[in-house]
Amino acid sequence: MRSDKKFQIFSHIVLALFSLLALLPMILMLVSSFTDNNEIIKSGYSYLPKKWSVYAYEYIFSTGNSVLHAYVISVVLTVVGTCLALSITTLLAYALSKKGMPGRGILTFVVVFSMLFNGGLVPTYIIYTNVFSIKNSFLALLIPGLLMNGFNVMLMKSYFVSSIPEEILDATYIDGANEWQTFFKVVIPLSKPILATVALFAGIGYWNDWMNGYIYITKRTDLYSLQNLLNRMMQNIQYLSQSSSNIQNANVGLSAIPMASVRMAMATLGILPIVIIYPFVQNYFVKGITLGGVKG
Amino acid sequence: MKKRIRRYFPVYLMALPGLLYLFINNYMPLPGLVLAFKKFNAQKGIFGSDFVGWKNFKYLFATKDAFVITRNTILYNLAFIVINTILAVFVAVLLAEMTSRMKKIYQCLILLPYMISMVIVSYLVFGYLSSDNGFFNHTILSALGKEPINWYMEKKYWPFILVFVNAWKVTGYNCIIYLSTILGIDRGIYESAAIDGCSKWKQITKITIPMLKPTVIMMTLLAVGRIFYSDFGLFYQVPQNQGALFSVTNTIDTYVYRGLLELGNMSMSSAAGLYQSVIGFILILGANLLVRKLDPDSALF
Amino acid sequence: MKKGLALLLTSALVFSCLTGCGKTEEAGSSAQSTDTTAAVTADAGTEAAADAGEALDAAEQAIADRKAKAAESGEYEKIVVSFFDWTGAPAGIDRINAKLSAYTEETLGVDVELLIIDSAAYTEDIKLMLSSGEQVDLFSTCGPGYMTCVNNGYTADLEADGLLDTYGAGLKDFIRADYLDACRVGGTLYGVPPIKDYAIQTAAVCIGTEYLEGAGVDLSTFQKDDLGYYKCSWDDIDDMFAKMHAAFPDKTVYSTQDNMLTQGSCVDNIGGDYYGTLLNPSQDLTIENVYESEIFKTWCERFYRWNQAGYISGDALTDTNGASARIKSGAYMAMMACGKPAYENQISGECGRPMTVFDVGEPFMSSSAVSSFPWCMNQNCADPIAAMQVLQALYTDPVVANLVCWGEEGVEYVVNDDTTINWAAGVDANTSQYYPNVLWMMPNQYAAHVWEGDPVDVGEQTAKFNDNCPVKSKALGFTWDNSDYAAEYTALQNAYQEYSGKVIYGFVDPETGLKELNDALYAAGLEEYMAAKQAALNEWAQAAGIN
Repeated sequence: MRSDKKFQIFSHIVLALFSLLALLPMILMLVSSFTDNNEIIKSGYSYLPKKWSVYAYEYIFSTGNSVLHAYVISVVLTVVGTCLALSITTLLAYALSKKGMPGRGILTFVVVFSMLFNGGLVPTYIIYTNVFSIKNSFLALLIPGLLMNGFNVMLMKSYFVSSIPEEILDATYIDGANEWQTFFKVVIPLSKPILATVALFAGIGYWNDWMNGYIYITKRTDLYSLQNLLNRMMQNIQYLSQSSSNIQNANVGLSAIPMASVRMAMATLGILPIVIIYPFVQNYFVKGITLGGVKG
Repeated sequence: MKKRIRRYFPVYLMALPGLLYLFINNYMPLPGLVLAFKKFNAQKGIFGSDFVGWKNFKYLFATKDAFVITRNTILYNLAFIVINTILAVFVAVLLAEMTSRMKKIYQCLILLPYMISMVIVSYLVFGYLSSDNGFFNHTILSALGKEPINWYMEKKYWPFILVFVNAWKVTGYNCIIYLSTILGIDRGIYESAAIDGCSKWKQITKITIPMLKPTVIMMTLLAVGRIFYSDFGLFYQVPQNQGALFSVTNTIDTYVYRGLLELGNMSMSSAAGLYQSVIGFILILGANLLVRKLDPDSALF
Repeated sequence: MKKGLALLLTSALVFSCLTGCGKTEEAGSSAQSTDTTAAVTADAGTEAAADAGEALDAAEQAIADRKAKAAESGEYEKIVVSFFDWTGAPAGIDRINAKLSAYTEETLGVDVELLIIDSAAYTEDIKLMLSSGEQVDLFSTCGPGYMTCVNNGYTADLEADGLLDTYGAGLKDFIRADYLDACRVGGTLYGVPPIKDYAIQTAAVCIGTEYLEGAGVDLSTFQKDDLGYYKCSWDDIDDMFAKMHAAFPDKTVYSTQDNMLTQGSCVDNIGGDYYGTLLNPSQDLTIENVYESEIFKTWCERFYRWNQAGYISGDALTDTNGASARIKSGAYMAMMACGKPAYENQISGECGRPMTVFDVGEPFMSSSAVSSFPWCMNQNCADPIAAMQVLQALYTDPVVANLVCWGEEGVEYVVNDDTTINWAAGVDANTSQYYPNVLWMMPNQYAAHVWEGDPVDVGEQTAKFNDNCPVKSKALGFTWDNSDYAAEYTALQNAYQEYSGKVIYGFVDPETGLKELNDALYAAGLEEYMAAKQAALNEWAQAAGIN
């Protein structure tokens, strides 16, 4: 037991160090978002700025499209997307984990192949707009690219193969359970960690995505998700500053945009929800699945 | 055979939604890859455009930089595979064995960097490395009484900086994968090991690590498939596109970007993508074959 | 409002005369006034006028046909016009589109939909839409780039079947023929240029007035140029910088950006890039390597001197803040841009302090000045005639121009007594429901109102500035498709970015720095690239009868 205690202390030290490494730049980001813009340009990013300011946030919340509305869109998108993604990923991964299934190798190859090759942006766009007509709709945020990816499928498949012993499944079949009953009664409860992982990955994917909004949303600004809105703002500001010599009324607005601090404020707004939600997800990372009893 | 297919009918049904999505999202646009061999013209459409053979690929090779960008792309990816795997497994093991409630906080904090975009990372890195006002030059080096370093002009530091930044960003994400695998291991094995008087260290090396092997192999195989790709933000934005650093930061993606940004040539970007995919595909097939020989259970397909 | 319109029409008329169009048709011809126009031209009684009359008849017939069709189906056909702004589709876009359509239904027999996308996404979005066959009839090439659009086959030939002559006659009269010709690619006209300042006043050095005063610089010794800026030499600038550096040792003197050739010289980046340029564009059509020229060397030596003297920040290579934003922060004192009429106000606004502009260079109009981002028609356009008529209205109809540029009168803006406009009560740049703020991209900003504070005759001033430009590139209108040399171009871009930074900001002795840069460029295929460009230029010059 003494070795265990030593191990715990060692773990604490190492993990605290890693956390600190991860946290320090984040703090710099947070502080910068509350720093006066001119101060950043003048004396760089600093943990202890000489002049504080909340103007970056005022700017973000007062300009153009509503940030709060974008938050709502992002939350709805992430929730719906994660549920759907988790469902179809789990089902496919479970099927691929079936060792005896004819065609398993081919189907796995189909999945891996899809990770390596893609038809490119234009053909994908044409399929989704001309064949499925989802442009300027919520579906355009939900479906293209994000709903399922081969990586998550492979991840889950590998978990099913290594962590759910065939003996258990065989035992349930013998008890008369069919495939679906087995799946829901035995497989799902035993797979909480990987379900949480894939849900988390899919959720992060949806939360951070801005490409779909860029490409498929040209008219409905009410469908801007948070990252889409913030990315657009950031790039617009950048572009605006680059072509400022062309803009007649540049003094109307442009010079007032606190570019450096706004960037940091946007990044802060983007990760805030993850900090809030993540602890709940973690509850599924439970230790101690004991199969001993079943295995007999 | 027929009986087996019937036996697995519900399983096929389960696979159906996912396969359908893959078909729509990944396979239907695939014929568009012919674009790589054509000179795109909207009037003629993708399939009607003139065929130009390998011409669109020429720019990837017809340069003295071809060697440098290929070398950089491959070497960085190899470094990432090794270092990121070791770090992620290490952190995952520590987290899994930790009994304190602090582990939730650690896990959350380590994941945070993954959530911010590379653009922001590039500004944060600049905050530390800027030559006039940077945290390193301004605070640390001056406190140590050392000369300030012009970080963005000295290429010798950048392989380390880029590997560090990449590890900093993805370790939290990758460790979750290994963590979930560890949590999926039957606790009974550990319990009987503990009863047999195995130390924590022994449990880790004799039980946890071997159990992680299939996941590690799979992750590595998948990474090998993307060995010709590089994270554009990491190699372009983080070094601030500094010319003095190109010999250690220029990768296939950044090289292509610098040319195509202004050209707006879809056929050429399609060609670059196809080139990266095909090489990745060949490598992954080879690596998978090797794995199948050594450890059939861990092979991808 | 009426008075405003009349004034605008007059100023537009004056403008059109200034731009040198031979015919007497008024520029602001809206559809309502086409009758009088027809009468005027008919009176002239020449063959040309008869042609014009015929063209007008055909144009009116087309409008009448569309109206009849709309009366039958109860729905007008729609022309989609796309360009970018800074915030994405404005909140009031539906209202403006309705207003615009209500007007164009009357005058042109079509509905017009403005499809406004923000600058961040426009380049990608417009390319995708044009590739996939979605409806976009007219679009600005600002974003994707004119040559990219032409090379990808997105653009329609505006003169096919006499389209421009018959249905866009007003455009032909309105835009000077040589400016129109400047947009031809291989002889074909794919776009019409926006009416704006094409010439630039190169090397306008802008210095914070307070710093000049603090350093005790005596401005009375300088004469003023036509635009009202102080004329001076680089030696004078060196002098001032030295005084400023001594007076304000804590501040960085010069805020850098990579614009020494684009804004600080009369070197013509012919064909759209600096890999092979015209060093003396008003005289000579020989393509030379600018990076080996005296012009560039002088620049690099100047920056090297400045850097050695401590005028330039050690972070110049990596600082991504805009040059004016840095001055605004108070840590920098001077920058260089290019001047134009009414520039001092603008730069002072950007820098957040009064700025004094010094004119060190000369006015210049490069070969691509006019054709940098023309308006184009989609090759896939279902009704090119209607689209052409809408395009003409965008250039010539003040009602359309005002709606597109400024939104709705009384809601977005109010008209002052002198016809300038300002925000309507309770509206500003952030709360306005329609404020694209991209006047320079608009087909014809001068057909619309002028913002308060700018001279009412800014259109006239700009036209004069363009026409009087003494250094005009001989190759005005040369465009080049470099897609066959994409391999060289990509390699050149990489080589340039690898070796240019140090030498253009003076971090390395020009002797060694320039050699390094040029060696890399030649290794990347500069010679082949320049030769190809020269061949294309010769061919173009021969066809255009220029030598």
